[in-house]
Amino acid sequence: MRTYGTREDLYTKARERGVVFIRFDQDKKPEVNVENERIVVQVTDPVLQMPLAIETDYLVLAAAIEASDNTNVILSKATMHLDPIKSYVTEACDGCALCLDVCPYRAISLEEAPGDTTGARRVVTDSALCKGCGLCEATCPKGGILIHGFTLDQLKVQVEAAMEPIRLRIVKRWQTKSLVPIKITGPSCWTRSSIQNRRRFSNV
Amino acid sequence: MSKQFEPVVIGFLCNWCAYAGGDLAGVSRLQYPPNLRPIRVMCSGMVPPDLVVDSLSKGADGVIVMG
Repeated sequence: MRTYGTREDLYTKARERGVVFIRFDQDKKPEVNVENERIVVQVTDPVLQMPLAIETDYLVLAAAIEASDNTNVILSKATMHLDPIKSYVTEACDGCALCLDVCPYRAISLEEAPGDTTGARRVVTDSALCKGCGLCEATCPKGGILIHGFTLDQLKVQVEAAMEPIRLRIVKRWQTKSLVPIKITGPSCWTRSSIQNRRRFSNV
Repeated sequence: MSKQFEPVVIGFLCNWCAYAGGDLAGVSRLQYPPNLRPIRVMCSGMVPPDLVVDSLSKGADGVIVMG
């Protein structure tokens, strides 16, 4: 049984309460009959490899779910998990071409900027060649080329999230003991006033 | 400060080798200290120097780039 999201908890809970789940194949759907004025559901249990006849007082059917017409449109939209990871060029690219040299797959080329008459150029990535390694992103000084799902901002946020418990611990220590800022031989942001002013270190 | 010093290390793990190794460690039920905070990247070469400095300035005691 596969469930999505928090449904896993519900499923586990139901199992603990004694609900029995039986899978069935498309070509072996359960059959419902009435025998001696009682409802009997006949189904082949794939775990037992045996046909079962279950007598029941109530038979409750789940309402059918039909996909709406535009479901395919939604599915066709790129998501990080379904799509291969590729690079893309942003507006910040000014055609300095630093990324061309570092690309191990030669997936980047230089072209005339579209609709530009001044001769400005921009890089273009070949998504067939790009393996999404991100060397271009690390090299570009302007954020002109990024990787889907691994942009500079996204990586930064991950670092921030990883450091959040530490930040809170330090803030708490200062607040509870009202200490003079402890000696941290680090950036000047580690002062008490800067924490009160900013509360976040996102821009240091 | 009676507690023992526990460093926090931000690790940038290459998707194809280091992160796969971490995955394998998990599957093999091996354990490592929780001091390492792994962050998956597509290649160890995609970690900009900015980000390393950023990690240190946010309080990390060390940064390891694995790939």
